[in-house]
Amino acid sequence: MTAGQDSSPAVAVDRICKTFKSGPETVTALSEVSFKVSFGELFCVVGPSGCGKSTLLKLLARLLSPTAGRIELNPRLIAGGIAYVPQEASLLPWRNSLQNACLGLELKGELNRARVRSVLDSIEEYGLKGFERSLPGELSGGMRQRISVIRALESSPQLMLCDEPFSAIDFVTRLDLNTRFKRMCRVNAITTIFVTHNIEEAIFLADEIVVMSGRPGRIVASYRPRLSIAPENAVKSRKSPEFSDLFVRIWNDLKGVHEEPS
Amino acid sequence: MKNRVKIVAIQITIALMFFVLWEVIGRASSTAFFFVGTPLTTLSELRQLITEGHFVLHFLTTGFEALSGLLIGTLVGSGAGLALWYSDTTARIARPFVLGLGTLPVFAFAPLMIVWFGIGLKMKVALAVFSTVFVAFTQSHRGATSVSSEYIDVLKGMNATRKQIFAKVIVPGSLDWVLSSMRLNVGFGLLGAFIGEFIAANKGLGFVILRAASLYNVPRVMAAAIGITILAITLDRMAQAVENRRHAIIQLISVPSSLWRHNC
Repeated sequence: MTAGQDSSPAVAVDRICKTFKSGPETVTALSEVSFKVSFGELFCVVGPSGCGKSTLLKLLARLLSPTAGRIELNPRLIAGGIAYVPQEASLLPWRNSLQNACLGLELKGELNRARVRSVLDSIEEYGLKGFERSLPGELSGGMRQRISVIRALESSPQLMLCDEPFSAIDFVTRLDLNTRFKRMCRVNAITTIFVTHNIEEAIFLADEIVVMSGRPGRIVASYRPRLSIAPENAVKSRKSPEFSDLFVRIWNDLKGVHEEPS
Repeated sequence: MKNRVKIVAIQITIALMFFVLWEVIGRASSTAFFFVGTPLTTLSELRQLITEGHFVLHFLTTGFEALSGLLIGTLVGSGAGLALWYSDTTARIARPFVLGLGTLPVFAFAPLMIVWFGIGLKMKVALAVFSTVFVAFTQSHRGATSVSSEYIDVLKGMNATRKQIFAKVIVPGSLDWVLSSMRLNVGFGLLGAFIGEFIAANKGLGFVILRAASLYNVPRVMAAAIGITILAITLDRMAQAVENRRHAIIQLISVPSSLWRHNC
């Protein structure tokens, strides 16, 4: 759709490993993980809790460095701006919703009246009208996550790294947000890496899904969902036959991971 | 509510009993009067100090010394303490010195202040600065290093520069530490000014106390001590008022003015 002038991928992850030292033991969080993400693609990572999904995002955000292997971010992404949406929304507690949502713009030096207007519109669209001046402590977990997503989207990044950004949001609102989120990423051609443990969320959002195993995290399967019915709508797209088909396949992949005694 | 009235009533009774006891002891004998005076003579001494003794001048002098020492000490100390966050290497080199300075017996150096700053107002301000600056320094540095990495990570993930992280996260995130150290420093600043007046002065409440004590005028010492108490309470209230406005201060120093208020 928005392929780069060059054919090189937006993100290339090449056989990365990450180990942590905890006391005398060494814990392997990720083992030999490789994948490529093209420009403008929505790339979902699904896996059980503790499989190293968050670690993977932190590596991509360059908050951690891999023990082995290489991560290459296309220079165009770095120049255009990266937004990281952590699992705990991590809003600055002394800033109100609007001020938190504008942080990305502020850092890029692009804060002006029109952009603030657009942030306010987003806040309204995400169902938070009236909470613009509330401090994070006065918001629920789901509200904080929405502000955190707005903060990322409104800074018009080239690359967005999302760590379960909708995990604390109720199911109905979540479907709504999924629809909006997918549209925003499409319209602005944002390359997105989206980590979730919700299979359905991944199937709806993703151009490509990789399934990860439990610790140590490694990729066990990869899919390209092609939804035939209303792929732009989180609710209607569930009617696609591919949706339930893929759901079962990913479910089995994950089940194969933590073998439960029958 | 009823309970509160009861508590206040008991508190007033205790205070009254204290003053009555003091009055009785002071009147018991001339020796006792010589050592502790009485509340009534203290009050009349205070009135006399106000009408003929330039009480306001002494009060304001000590107040000015303590306040300017406190402000300079807080600004310089906190500025340096926060700035230390900037460079990890510098912070590691400075670590033992920071700890050392925090335990420095500042008042042991008081007589040196005369050598460095003379015997005027400058010397008292310097002593007040000297006695507050290290507390401000160590506390603000601890504040800067205790800011949650979660917030720093978000900004790093957005490719923020170190300068931006400092301005948007570190400074507002450690403001609570800076302000509480300022409140703590009210006492130290006052003590610094006071000791400076003890060493060499011709005005200020410390000077009044020193002179009255050398003349064995206990009621006047007590009267000046009341002045110091009032000064301490005033400064503490001022520091508290600043502390209560920390949200406004954060907005002022770390949020662009276009986001202070908005019309929706």
